[in-house]
Amino acid sequence: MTAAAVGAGARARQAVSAGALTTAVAILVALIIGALLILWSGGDPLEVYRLTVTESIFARTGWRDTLTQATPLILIGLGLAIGFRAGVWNIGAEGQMVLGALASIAVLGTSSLPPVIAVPLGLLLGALGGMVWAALAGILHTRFGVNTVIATLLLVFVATSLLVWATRTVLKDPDSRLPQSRVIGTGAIGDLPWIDTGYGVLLAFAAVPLLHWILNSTRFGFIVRAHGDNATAVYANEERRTLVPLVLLMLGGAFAGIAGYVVLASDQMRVASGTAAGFGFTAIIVAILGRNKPYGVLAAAVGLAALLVGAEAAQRRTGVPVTLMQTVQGLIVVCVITARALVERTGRLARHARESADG
Amino acid sequence: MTSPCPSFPSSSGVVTNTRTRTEPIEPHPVTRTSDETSDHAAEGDAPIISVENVSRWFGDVAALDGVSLDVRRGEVLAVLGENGAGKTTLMRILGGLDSPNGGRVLLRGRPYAPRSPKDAVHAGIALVHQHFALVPTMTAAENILLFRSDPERRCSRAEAARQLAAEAAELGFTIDPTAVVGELSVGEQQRLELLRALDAAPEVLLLDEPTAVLTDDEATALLDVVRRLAIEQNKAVILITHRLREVTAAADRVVVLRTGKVVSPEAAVGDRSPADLAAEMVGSEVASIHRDDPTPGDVVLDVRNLSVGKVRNASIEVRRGELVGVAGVDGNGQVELELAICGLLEAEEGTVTLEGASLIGVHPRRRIRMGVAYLPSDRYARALIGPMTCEENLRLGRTQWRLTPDPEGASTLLTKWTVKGERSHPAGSLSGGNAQKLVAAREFGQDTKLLVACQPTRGLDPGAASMVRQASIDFARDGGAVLFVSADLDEILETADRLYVASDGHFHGPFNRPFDRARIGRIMAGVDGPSTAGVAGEGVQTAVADQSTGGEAH
Repeated sequence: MTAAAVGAGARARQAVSAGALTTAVAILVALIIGALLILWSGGDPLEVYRLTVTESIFARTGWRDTLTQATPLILIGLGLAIGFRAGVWNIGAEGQMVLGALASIAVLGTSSLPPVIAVPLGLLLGALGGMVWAALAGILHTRFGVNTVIATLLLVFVATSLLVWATRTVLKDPDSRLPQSRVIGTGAIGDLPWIDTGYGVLLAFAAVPLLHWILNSTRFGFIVRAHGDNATAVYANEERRTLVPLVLLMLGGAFAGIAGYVVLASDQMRVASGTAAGFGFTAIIVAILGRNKPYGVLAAAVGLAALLVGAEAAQRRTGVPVTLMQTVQGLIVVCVITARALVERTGRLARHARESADG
Repeated sequence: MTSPCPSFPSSSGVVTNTRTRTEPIEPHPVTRTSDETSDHAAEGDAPIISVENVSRWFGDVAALDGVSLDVRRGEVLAVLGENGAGKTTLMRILGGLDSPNGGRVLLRGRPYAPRSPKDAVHAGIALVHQHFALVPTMTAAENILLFRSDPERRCSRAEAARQLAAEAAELGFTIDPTAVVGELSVGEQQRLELLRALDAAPEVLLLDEPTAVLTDDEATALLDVVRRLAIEQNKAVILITHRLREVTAAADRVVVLRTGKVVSPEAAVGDRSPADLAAEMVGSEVASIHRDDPTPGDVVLDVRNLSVGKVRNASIEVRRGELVGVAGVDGNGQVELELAICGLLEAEEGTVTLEGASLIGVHPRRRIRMGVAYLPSDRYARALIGPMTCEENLRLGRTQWRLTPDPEGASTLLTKWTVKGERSHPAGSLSGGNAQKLVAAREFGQDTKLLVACQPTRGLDPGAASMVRQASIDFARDGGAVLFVSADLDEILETADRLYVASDGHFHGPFNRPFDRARIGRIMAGVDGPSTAGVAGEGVQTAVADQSTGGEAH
């Protein structure tokens, strides 16, 4: 039995390294295609890639920006990844993030609570705001059978309109002529000494191992994984049919809402039309690239953030437009997902052949 | 067959019938007269298909190992074998869905190596699948049109409907071409499937377990049609089956396959006794199960006037210490009954109680804590999570707030149930028998009061099947209560202490031992008993009991 256990462990490691290898090869292919595009537009691909790496990771302002960008991506990506792992598709983190920010600014924008209270309250309000918004989609799904993709996505547009309305009316800063809210005041999150990045990054990094543990060592995590593999068996043995998608949507919403508050309180300081800044959509890519695993989400979030930060620096230094690097980012996503699908399909074919042999 | 359960729609839009594979040998074969065989088996003809020494390997496993056989026009050749004997692989090779690794197939004396089912159809070979591949939302005629690949044969729906009706009439049955397939009975769907295969005017017809989901009468009717195709239309028919009764009823000659090899050369059906064929098919005597008379105690499961989905006013009692069977062909309300008992379907009317506590809509973990073990009919959907490990599957429904790994406990259970698979392997990699043993290892717990076993031996090899049957009986004798739902009448008659018969949503009975097989068969087919009148309830059950001659009581 020990031999068997060792064998299984080796296989598990093999599977992990095979997955990592697939991803690495796919990224390499994407970078090569991207290099051709840069060449074609008259740039020097090696120089662009070198600058992208050095400016985003080694330059002081670079890694600070990278971490700042990565923080909301990690937070939202974790919440989405748990849902995706269970087969519950939440595409509306952008809107849930907006609602989180709106909920916290609505209370904190006019209060003068001490930061010890204001910051936890902001986190709580952000989580609640995002959770309620996601719960709307959840109820549409569980009560009326609306597909979660459609329900969550369409609520993004409602959330965006709500934001525009709120920043012009109820939440508008009376001292400003622009459609924006008051500043967050005592709810602001300070910067960590040394790295000049908001404390939110600690929250994001701490959430990764916590969620890893929850996924692998608790009943909740078991149900999430089982639901993704075979929801019917979960409904027959573990949990009611209505509960799982609703809870997971709300969890994703809570994470997005917290990210909304963190971005608001450590970076933007007030809510305006650009509050969500696309983090909610990029986080979908983060979750998918990270294979819906917490550590994968961490790696994907930091990697994507670095690519964008580095690309901006490269644009300043070489004139290669940042949109070209965004194209490379898109290529990476397409290549990684294609490679995984290919690997999975060949695996399935091999398995199918074995099963046919059985009967 | 319509979707058996409204709340669990099948993932694809295609009607597939989950009824598959192993059933034990029919112990009561219909004997046929030998003179019937000779007058049409065109002897002396060159074979239309010759399979010469064909092998198909999957890795180290031989699905077919040097198989040779011939088929001639105007005859029905039965290929008899247990689950896993290689019957379906042979069919797939002939039908263009698979290719052999060794040997060759000759069609009309020339090498035949189809690369796709289309090639096979062009070559004049048509395959009737074990699982229906009809579109349930389209009409019968539309289904025929849908699968016509030849553009010259496209025509209007009305024309297709006329052709279909004419073709059916020629074969001696009627079918409504404008009926939506999902609303046809299983037997009608099987006939439509046959008509669709015949639409391309094949010379060779391959039938893979064509009667698996039919009642005895429907099966007889279908086999009649198959015989007429051979006799009147001079087609060559290969009938793949594990049912001796079909061989003796329809085939001229028979080849027995076991573990990929031809056990004995093909011979006329009359040359060998059913007992010989059975022994050849199974290889060795399968351990028979041991069943002594029960001493029933208090009522454990009480289903009272339950109506849900197809189920109409069903009342069933299961007492401590006894195994109560539910016989019936698939799709007669058994799935709804099973789901309602296990809390997965809300009742429209009536109650389901376990020692007085309601089971309707109960939370799944509470159902398990109450002591209801469940072997679902669709074990791959409801009892197993394929990608998760065997150990994790043993934990399904029994999780604590925090997962505590228990490798020793898991290994002990797997060994006890002789599951061939490691605890760290995905459950989806297990074979059918081992997968069911894994579910059984989990469900046969210590504090279990009631076992709901639904089609628990379907798809299992004979050894695993008798292990599950014996475990169910032993569980009852150790003070448990068992509800044992099976479409396999022989199995029910062998294991049950009492039984109910499902027919069109009505559950007739209970019937006590000794069972009247013929009468139970008639009730299953809906030709006996008041079920045809469309009323049910206490009165009906009394009437059933009163009309019966012995062997039945309350």
